[in-house]
Amino acid sequence: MRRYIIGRALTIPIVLLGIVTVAFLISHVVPANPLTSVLSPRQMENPEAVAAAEAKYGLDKPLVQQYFIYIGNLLKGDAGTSFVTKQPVVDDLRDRLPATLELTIAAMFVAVVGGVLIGVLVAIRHNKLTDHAGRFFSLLGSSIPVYWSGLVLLLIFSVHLGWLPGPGRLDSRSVAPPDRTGFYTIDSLLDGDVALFWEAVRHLILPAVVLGWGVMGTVTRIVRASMLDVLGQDFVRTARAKGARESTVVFKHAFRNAMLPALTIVGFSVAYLITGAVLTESIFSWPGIGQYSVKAAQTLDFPAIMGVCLLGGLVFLVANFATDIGYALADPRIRLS
Amino acid sequence: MTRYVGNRRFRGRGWAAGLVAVALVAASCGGDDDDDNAESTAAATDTATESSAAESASATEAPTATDSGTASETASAESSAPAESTGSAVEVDTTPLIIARNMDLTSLDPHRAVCDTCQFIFTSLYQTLVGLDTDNKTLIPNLAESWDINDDSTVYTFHLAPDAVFSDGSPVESKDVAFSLMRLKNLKVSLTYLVDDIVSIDTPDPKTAVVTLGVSNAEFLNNMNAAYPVIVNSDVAIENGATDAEDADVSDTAEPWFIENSAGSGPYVLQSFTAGDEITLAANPNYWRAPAPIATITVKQAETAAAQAQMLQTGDADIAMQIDPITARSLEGVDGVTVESTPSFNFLYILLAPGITTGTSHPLDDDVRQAIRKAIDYQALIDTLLDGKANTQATPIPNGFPGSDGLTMTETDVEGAKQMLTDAGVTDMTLTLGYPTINAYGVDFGQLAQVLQQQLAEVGVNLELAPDTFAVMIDKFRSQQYPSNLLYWAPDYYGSAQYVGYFGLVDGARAAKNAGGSDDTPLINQAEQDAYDAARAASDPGERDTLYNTAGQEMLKDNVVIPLLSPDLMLTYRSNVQGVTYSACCNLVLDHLKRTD
Repeated sequence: MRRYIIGRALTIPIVLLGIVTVAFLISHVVPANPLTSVLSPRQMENPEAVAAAEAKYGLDKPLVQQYFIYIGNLLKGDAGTSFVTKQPVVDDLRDRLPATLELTIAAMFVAVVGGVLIGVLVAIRHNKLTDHAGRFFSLLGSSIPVYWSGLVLLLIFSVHLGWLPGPGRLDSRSVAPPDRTGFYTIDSLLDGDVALFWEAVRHLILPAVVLGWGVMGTVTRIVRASMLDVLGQDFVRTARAKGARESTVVFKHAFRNAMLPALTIVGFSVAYLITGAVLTESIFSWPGIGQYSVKAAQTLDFPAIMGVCLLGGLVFLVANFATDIGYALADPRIRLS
Repeated sequence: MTRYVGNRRFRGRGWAAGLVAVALVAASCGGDDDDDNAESTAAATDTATESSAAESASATEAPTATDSGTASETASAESSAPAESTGSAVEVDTTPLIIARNMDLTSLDPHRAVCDTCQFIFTSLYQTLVGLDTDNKTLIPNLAESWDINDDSTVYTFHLAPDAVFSDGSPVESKDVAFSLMRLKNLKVSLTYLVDDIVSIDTPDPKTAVVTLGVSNAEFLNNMNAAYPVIVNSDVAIENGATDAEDADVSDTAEPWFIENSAGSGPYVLQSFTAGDEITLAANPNYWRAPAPIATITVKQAETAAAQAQMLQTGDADIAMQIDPITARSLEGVDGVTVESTPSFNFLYILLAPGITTGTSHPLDDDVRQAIRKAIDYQALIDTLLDGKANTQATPIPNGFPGSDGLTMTETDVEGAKQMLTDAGVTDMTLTLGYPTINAYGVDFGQLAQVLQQQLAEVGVNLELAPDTFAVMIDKFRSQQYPSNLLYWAPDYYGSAQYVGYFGLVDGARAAKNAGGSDDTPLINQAEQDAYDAARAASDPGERDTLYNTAGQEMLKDNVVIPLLSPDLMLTYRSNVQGVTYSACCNLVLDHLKRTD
C-alpha cells in the first residue's frame, strides 16, 4: 500500500510541471500585449517606460528563458507579482483560498449528505412518487445554471422571506473575526463569538446550496443507481431471507457496497467545486479564488492567471490522488492490480 | 452590537500558505528579493480605463474653456464652497455607511490609477485645487481659495487656503502642489494629459503656487477639478518612494505604499483596502473643514446589479451604485428604498475608421459612414437596452457641456441609408465590429452589438461581431485591427477639450489615428483642428463655447465617432440617506452623505 501511495504521489509534480508548461505557453500566445495590463496607454507610447516594464517582468528575454526563470522562481515559492493587485501571487492566493475552501466544504457537505440521503431514499422507493420527485430534484440541480438558481434563491430566501442573509461572508456591517485560519466559522468560534459563528453559517447556507446542488444531483443519481444494483444482488436477498431488518439490509449490507462509485464522484466534485465556484462567488460577492481568477482573466494579469491555473491543477491532482487512495483502501483488488 | 468592518488582510495563515506553497512545489519560502512591489506602473486595465483615459497626444493638445478665469469670478463662487471647519459642533454618525459596487479599483495611488471608483475615493481622501459645484458646471474654490490667470491663459496663480492641512496635521503648502502636479506629469500615465502643458511651477511662498504652461490652455482650471491631479503630502510621499523627477515613470516606487495608506487633506483617510473585496474610509480627524457627517464608509464588492439590489433591499447596503434601469424596476415601490434617475455625461459610441481596410468588404468612405449613422435607430437602442432610461447624444461632446447646444441629432432614415449605399455602389457589405464583453452603465455590449447587427442588416450592412475581453479589445483598438468598434466614455472633468482632443479628427487624437488607419497617418479635419486650437486659447467663455460648437459640428460631419446613447444614472439608496447625487468630476461626493436617523 505504501508503495502504491508513493508511486501515485510521485506523478503529481510531473503532471504539475505539464500544467505549468501548457499554461505558460497558452498565456504567451494570447494575441494581446501583457504590458497593457501594467502600463497606461500613455506609458505604452513611451519606449523607456515600456523597456523598463519589460525588463522588470522579464518580458525582454526569449520565451524559453522566461519559462525557465518562471520555473526557477516557482521552485523558490515565487509565482510572480500580480499586475493588478501589485501583491505576490502567492499572497493573493493565500488571502483568498480560505473563503473558497470554506464555501467548497460547505457545498460538499450539502452535496454529499443531501445526495446520499436522497439517493438511498429514492432507491428504496424505486418507481414510486418519492423516486420520481427525488430524480426530478436532482435533475434540476444538474440542469439549472448557478447564476439563475443563485439569484432566485437569494430573491426568495433573502429578499422576500428574509430567512437568510444576502451576499457576503458576513453582514456588511460586521467585522471579521481575528484571523487564525481564514475560515470565519472556525475563527469566530475560536474567538468565542457564537453570534458571529451563526452569522457566518447563515451566510454560507445559500451559496453552499447553490454550489452544491449540481453535485448533489450527480451524487443522487449515482447512489440511486448503485443502490438499485446492490439491492438486487444475491447477498442482499440472502440477508432479507435470513430475516434481517430492512434498515439493516439497506444501511449495513447494501449502502456500504454501493458507496464505491459515489466515492469517485465525490473526489472529483471537490476539485470541481473549488474551481467551479467562479459564478457562485460572483453572485454572492464571495471574496475567493473564483472572483480573483475572473478579474485576472479580464485584465490579462498573467502571473495571477498562472497562479490560479497551478492551484486549480493541484487541487484536481490532490483530489484524484485522494480518490485513488480511498479506492485502494475500500477495495483491496485495486491496489493489488 | 454594532460592528464595523476593519482591515482583514489574511496574514500568518500557516496552513493556507503551506497549501499554496505545495502548489508551487516550494521547498522553502525564501523567494527572491526583487522589488516587484515597487512597480512604477499604472493599473490601466480596469474597465474604466478607456472610458476615462485620454491618449497621450490628445492629452498634449488638451484643454481649453474654463468657467471661471478671474479672481473676481472665484470670489463670487466662494459661497458654494464647503463650510469651513466648525470644530466638533457637527454630530457624527458612527454607524458605517455601506456602498455596494462592482469596484474597478486596483490601485490607490491617485496619480496612477484611473477608474470610475477612483473618482469618488480619491476625491474623498485627497483634494483638488478647484472644486465643482452641485450644478456640475461651476468651478468653486477647494484647496485653492482663489486664483489669478494671465491674459493668454498660460500662467495660473493659485492661492491656497491658509488653514488647509493634511490628515497628519501638517499644512498644505505650495511645494505640495508643485510636487503633486509634476509627479502626475512625469509618471506619464493616462491622466497626465491633464497637466501635460505645465512647464514649471514656482512657489514664491508656502501658500502660492504659480503654474506656467507651455501653451495657452483656457481649460486648465477645469482640468484641476478632475479627480487625479489631487494634492498629496509631498513630505510623506517622498519618504515612501514617490518622486516628481522627470524619470518618475521608472523611478517612482510609492504605489505599494499608497495602496495601504493615504496622505491627503480630504474629509476621509484610508482605513483598509482589500483588492476585489472592500475599501473602508474613516473620517479624517484633522479635516480642516466641517467633519464628514458619517464616520466610516465602506465600499463593498458586489459584482452584479442584482447582488447590489438585493443588498439594498435587505439593508446590507445603504447605496447601490450600479443599478441598471431594468434592475431598478424591481426596486421601485420597495419600502425604504429610493430610486431616482438622472441624466449622466457618460455615453456609448461606435467608431468607424475609414483608414482601416481589413475587416470590411467596402471602405468606410464618407457616404458609407453617413449611411450607417442614418441606419441606426437610436431610440430603439435606448428602449431595448435601457428601458427608455437614456438620452440621445449628437456628438461626443455630452449634452450640457460647453459647445453642445445646437448640435442636432441625426434622424434615423433607413430608406435614405439604403439609397446612399446604393448610390455609393455598396451592396451586401460585411463589416467587423470589435467590442468588449462587458456591461458598462447598464448596457451589455454583447446585446448592443446584436441589436446594431439587426438594425444595420436592414440596409445591407452585415456586422461580423468580434467580442474580446476588455484588455484584449483595447489592445486591438489601439493597434487598429478592426474598422469599427464599440466603446464607452465618462468625463474626467467638466470641459469639452477632452472630447475634441480624443474623439475629433485633430492632431494627436485617438479617433484621428484610428480613422487614418495607423498612429502615423492620422486623419485630420483642418476646420475642426482650427476650431479646437482657437478654443483652447480662448479665454472668453462665450467665444470658447462657440468654437467648441464649431468643432462639434465638424465632428458631426466626420461620422467617425457616432454616439449611440447616453445612459441615465440610476441613484438607488436607502431612503434615510441624503446627499446621493451625480457629480461630473467625482461621481459621488462622500462627505455630502448623511443619514436622517
